[in-house]
Amino acid sequence: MYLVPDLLEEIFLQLPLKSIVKFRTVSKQWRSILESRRFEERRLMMNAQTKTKIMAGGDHRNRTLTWFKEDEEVEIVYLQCDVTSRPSLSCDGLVCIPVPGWVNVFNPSTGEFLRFSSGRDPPFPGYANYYLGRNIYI
Amino acid sequence: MSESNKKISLISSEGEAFEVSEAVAREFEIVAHMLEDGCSGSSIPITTVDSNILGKVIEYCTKHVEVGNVEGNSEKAEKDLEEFDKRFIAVEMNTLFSLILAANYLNVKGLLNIGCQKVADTIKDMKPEEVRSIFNIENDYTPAEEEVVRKENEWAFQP
Repeated sequence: MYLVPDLLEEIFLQLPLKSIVKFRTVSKQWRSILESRRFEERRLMMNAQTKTKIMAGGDHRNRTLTWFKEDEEVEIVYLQCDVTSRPSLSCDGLVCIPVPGWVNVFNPSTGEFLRFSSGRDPPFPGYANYYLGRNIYI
Repeated sequence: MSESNKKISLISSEGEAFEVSEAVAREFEIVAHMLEDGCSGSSIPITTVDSNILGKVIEYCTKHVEVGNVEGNSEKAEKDLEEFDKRFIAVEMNTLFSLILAANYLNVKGLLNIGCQKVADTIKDMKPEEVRSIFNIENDYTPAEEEVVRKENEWAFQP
């Protein structure tokens, strides 16, 4: 049975994140749909309306748990971090954790982690300004 | 005679006619548009959908129109409809795919949604190999490429 990409996309929108990542390995076509900007935008829009995700910092191992607050599903991600490396900015589910000399960007849903050099440390510690945003026109 | 008593024949790909009320036919958005565009014919050919599937889509739309017409008691009606949807969509994969294709072509949004949701629920815990066989997809990754993409997404394979 052959389904056109538009219909595959409708099905993929109903999948949990773990399955989406797993199914990148099914075929090149599936991967290109699952990693497309359009699919990500649509999924983001959908989840913004339906699911609340909360991230908590603390002295725990990274772990995820889910419980129900009234009718709503709330997912909690614990991050292992100390007071000197607290998440300080977030955008579309990514969090930014500045540490001296580096800026770490973390995706709590997938566990993906990127690290950028922040260049010269500010002359007065605590006076650096960081911003996290997203370019929607790429 | 009110509008909703008017009958319309929907003709399947085999040429079989299904007589439905205009209200049910209008659940097919493609038909609703035809009627709005002034197509006044009382029989409409649905050439890409066979009798078996067309019958099922009509069953779905009829139920939804019926429930939509009942006033009051909305909570119970909603629950009934949910139960109906659940039973209705519990079919084997090939029928499910045919229903999705028909719902997409005829533009029956509710049916398209529950169909896609059902496929997603069925495949979400499957291995990529199982998914390939269900969707009849040839693995176009070379073994080396597959190894790389699998490594990149390793965490999703852990239980």
